[in-house]
Order: sequence, then C-alpha cells, then structure tokens
Amino acid sequence: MTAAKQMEIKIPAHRTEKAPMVLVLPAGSTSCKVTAGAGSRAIVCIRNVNRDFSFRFDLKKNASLTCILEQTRPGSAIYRHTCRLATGSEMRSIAIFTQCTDIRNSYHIDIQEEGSSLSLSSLAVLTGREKLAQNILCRHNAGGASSMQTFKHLLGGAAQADMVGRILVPAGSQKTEAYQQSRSILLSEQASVHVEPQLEIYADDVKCSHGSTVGQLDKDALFYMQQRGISPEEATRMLLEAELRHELDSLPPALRRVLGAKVSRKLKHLV
Amino acid sequence: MLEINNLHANIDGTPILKGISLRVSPGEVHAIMGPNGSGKSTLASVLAGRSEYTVTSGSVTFMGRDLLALPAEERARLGIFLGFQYPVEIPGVSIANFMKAAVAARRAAMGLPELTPAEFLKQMRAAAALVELDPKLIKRAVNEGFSGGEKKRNEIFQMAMLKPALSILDETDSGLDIDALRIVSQGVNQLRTPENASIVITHYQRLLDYIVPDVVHVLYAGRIVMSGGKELAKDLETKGYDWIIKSLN
Repeated sequence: MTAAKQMEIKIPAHRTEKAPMVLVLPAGSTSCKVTAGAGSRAIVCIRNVNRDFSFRFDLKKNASLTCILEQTRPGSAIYRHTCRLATGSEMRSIAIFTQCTDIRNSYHIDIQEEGSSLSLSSLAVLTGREKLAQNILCRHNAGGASSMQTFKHLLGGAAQADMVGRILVPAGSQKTEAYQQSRSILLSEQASVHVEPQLEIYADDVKCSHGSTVGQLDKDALFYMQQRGISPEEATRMLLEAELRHELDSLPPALRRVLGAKVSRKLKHLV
Repeated sequence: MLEINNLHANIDGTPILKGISLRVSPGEVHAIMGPNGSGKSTLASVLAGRSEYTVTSGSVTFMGRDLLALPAEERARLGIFLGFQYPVEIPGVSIANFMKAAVAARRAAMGLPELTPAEFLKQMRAAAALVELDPKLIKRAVNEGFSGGEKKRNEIFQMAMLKPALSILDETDSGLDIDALRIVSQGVNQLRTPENASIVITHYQRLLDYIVPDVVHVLYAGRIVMSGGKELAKDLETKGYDWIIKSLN
C-alpha cells in the first residue's frame, strides 16, 4: 500500500478553524485518519468517491470536531468509521446517503474517557432498488460521557434500509447517557426497513434508551396542507424535507445550501 | 355561491349526512348548530374534500363548479377554507414556508401574479396583527407547541392570508378564553366582505354574539331540521335542542 492511499489530517492543538474544511479524498485512497488536537475546533466536510474506505477519527482532550460525510458517487460501497474520544471531546458526525446502489456503512465508536460526547446522525433518502445497511457499535468505555444516535430513512420504490445499532456500557461506566433513535418513513408498499437496536448495559447508574418508529406520512398533516391549496406531491415533499430539517439546519449555511439542494433533488424522485 | 342539494355521506359504511340542502349567497354568514354527533363536522369535512367520507348521493355546487368532483387542494384554490376544529401540528414546516406555498397556489388559481417577498412579508405582518398573533410564531413550525388559542388564531391568520370566498369555521370557539374569542371573532368580522361568505359551526350561542349570523340552522341526525334568524340561537341557548327533537317526533 502506498502512502498516498492513506490520508492523514491533523488539526493542531488549540487551533480553531472558523470556516468548514472541505476534504476531497483522491480516487484510489483507502483510508483517512483525522486527528483533532487537544482543544481544537473544526468542521470537516468529506467528499469521497472511493468504494471501500476506512475513516478514523481521533479526538484528543477537549477537541471539538464536526464531520459531514457526503457521498459523491452513486454505486456500491463499504465505509468503516472508527472514532476515539478523549476527555471532554465532542464529536458530531452527519452522514447523508442519497445515491446507494448497495452501501454498507459501519461505525465503531470508542468513548475512551469521561466527559466526552458523541452525536451521530445518518440520513438516507433512497428509492428504486437502493440498499443501505448500517452497523453501529458504540462502546462507552468510560463513564460520565454521552452519545446520541439518530437514524432517518425516507424510502420509496423498493428501497431497503437495514440498521443494527448496539450500545455497550461496561460495568464501571457509571453516569453514562446513551440514546439511539431511528425513524423510517415508507412511501411505497415495496420499500422496507429492518431496525435492530441493542442495548447491552452492565453499569447500574446510567440513562440509556432506544426508540424506533416505522410508518407513513401523517395523513392529517397531508390533508391540512391540501386544504390550504398545496398539492399532495408538494405537501409530501415538504413533509419529507421536514423530517430532515433538524439535522440539515444544524449545518453551516454554505453546506446546508449544497446538501439541502441535493436532498431536495432526491426527494423529487420519491414523490 | 354554494348550493348543497340532498347531500348524503357515509364514513366506513355508516351514514352520517342524510339529506342536507343548504344555499349560501355572497355576503352571508350561516351558523350551524346542533347536538354532538349530529353531523356538523362531517358536513365541514365533506365540503373540504376529506377522503375518509364517501358521498353516496346529492350534489354540491360552488361558484358554478361541481365541488364533489374536485380534490381537496383544488377546492381550497377555488376559495373554500376550512378552519379546523383541531388544527394539525406539522413539525419541521415553518408557518412562513407553509403559507408561501398555500398563497402561491391560491393566487395562481385566481390568475394573480406571485407576491414579491416584500409583499408577502407585509401581508403576513398585517394578517398576524389582525388576530394579535405573535409575529415570532410565524418563524416556528405550523402549530407545533402552540396553545389552543394560538392554534385558532393561526387558523384565522391563514384565512386572512388566503382570502377565501367561503370560510367554514368548525368550532373555532372551542378551547378559547373570552379574550381570544373576541380577538378571533373580530378577525373574522374584519375579513367579511359583500363578496365572501362564512359557515360558522358552533355549539354555543356566545360565538354568535360576536359573529352575527344571517341564518341559523339546526342540524340533527344528519339533516337540517330547522332554520331561522339569529334569535334561534338564543332560543337554543335557553331551551336546548329537546324541544326541536320532540317536535320532530
């Protein structure tokens, strides 16, 4: 393996990157390691064309890193994410999937020290015969840390989404807060979702939960909008966009515009 | 403007409306009263085009069009506005975006040009002021976390924005305190013109102290069993519905 296949980004300790960094991974690379130095703050938007790729995030003490993964090429792919969080560090990860012939995406998160927090969001807008399978292991190796995982699937056509999410809290990791939510909207009879949340908890002073909903758009909301003159197609599109609003609104404005437009374009294929 | 002839409608095979006939002309306010379960909200839903209801016979003509042949959104664009008894919360859709889409659809149907952003904003501010709706709420998601009173004000705010030909207000007074009732009613009254009309569905005469009707109808068991002037509402308030039901038997 040549050095060029393994990318490495280091954000120096105590550096604050005010503007989002856009990282375009060259074709042929296989892995990328992002190290956020102690006390650093950065937003990294990763554009990746590679089909088999490993990401590794290493957050040092009190580092804050937001990582947005933008898939830029349709097709099959395998992505692996490994995150290690040190004391007081904050990791925010947002992945947006809008073109997935067959994607397998895994997260292996190790919360190593106290006081760190993780927010993980995965948004998928799929149609046709697109498939997304996600596997998550979030291991709270130290107590006093928090994690929040959010998965949203908007599925039309014969699209399929699978998600197996495991939260592991070993004995001794007291005061852990770990939550996982999954919300799936099925817009056709052929679309399917399989969600398997797993909580494995060995400590007794923790707050952990998981929730999963699968359903269709709110018929009352659709009628309310139609009664105001909005077509069913437009109302559906607005309600689907609303499902992703919270995550998209949290992005920096420039990224919100680009990714919001991309999501909107895909939603038109679902309606 | 609106002509309902011998309208029958079912839900899940159960007949609810059993032969309603009603004629509403421009400039008129009609009140529909009646005991629980008489079919008042069903009538509103059928006119608005709710798909759960099946019209089994009868006809409805609105501004010369066969209303029952149109989907809900086309009825709305034509000028039918339903003030919901229970306005729906729509998380993630701001009132501003919601109204932008609704106003654009209504104006396009009326052959009017799209409003500029400045004109739209001005109209929203004026409509919010009409019902004393906090302008900050306009940036929030539709009805999400609103109090009962705020939801009803929001309905009349939307009515002011859409300028409907016929407003059907389904128990707009339910859940309102006296001050909110006055504000909402004043809003409705200020939107009255010789060209538009309203059907006000209510249980209580007190709303009709504020929105004075031209005609009061009593709906019972899916039929209009009595019609009269505004004094009929006062009789109902004091005597209830029993005397009408007994007279039918």
